Amino acid sequence: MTSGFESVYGRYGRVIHAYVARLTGDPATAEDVCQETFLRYLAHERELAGRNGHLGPWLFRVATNLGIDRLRRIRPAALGAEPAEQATTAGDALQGRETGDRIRTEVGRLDPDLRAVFLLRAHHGLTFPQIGEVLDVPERTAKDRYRRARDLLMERLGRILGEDDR
Amino acid sequence: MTCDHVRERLLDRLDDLLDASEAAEVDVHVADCPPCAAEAERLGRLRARLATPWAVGPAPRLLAVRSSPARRLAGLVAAFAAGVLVAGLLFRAEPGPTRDLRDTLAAPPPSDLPPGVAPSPAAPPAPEFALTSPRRIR
Repeated sequence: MTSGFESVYGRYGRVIHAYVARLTGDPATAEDVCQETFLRYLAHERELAGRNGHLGPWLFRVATNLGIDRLRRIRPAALGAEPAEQATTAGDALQGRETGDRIRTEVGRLDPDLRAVFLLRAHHGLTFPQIGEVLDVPERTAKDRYRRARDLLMERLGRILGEDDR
Repeated sequence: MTCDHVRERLLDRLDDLLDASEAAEVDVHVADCPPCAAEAERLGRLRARLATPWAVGPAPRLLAVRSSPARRLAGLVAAFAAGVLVAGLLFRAEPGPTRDLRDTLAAPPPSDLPPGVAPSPAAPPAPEFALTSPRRIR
């Protein structure tokens, strides 16, 4: 069991943590949710045995539920993650950093249900049927939530994104 | 389709939100309309910018899992706690971008590792992705 668990954590731990970190916007909460997700896996290990190809969706479903529950109970602390922007000039770096910060802030303002769909689609590349299965919603609902999240972000960020485009 | 009609749907087209027939109509129009094609490219750049993930800190390190079934849960909790502390003291930034979730979910199942061998990154993804019936686990 122990080596199997290590293998599962080695395979999914980083992705789960990154997803939850962006979902909750708080490093400490992300660590708590990540750890709780894998503790629940451990508690359900027997019934999950043999579901190798389906373990990822199960983990992300648990992580999403836990993360959204935490979001609804507490307001995340200031987003601590640094934007991943790279630039060649100080001016570009400043503008890129500011834009990245704004994007992160606005994603953090989204309702948790919309935020989860946006992250799964935009950052992790899941298809809408996949998102629907992870979040336990119909594909149509996943699409509608993504569209609402995207439209809100474009409305709030369209100008600053357009300035970067010049 | 008119240009206005198409431009209202460009983002949905880029995000794969249109059904097949509507997507085809948009594609046909864009292929023959330079202004709409330019707008599609501009929206594509904005969309890519919006979808760029920001960096996050490293995941907690798993240091040890006790083998005794009776104590493994408590042992795992302790290991996680120690891992978090160690990660804070011996911070090592994770190189590169986060692994694509689609790749991770589609990857072949992990194999058991010999004791003492640290877990390694997952193997390249398999082409298929399937899920069981969803169930809300609490």
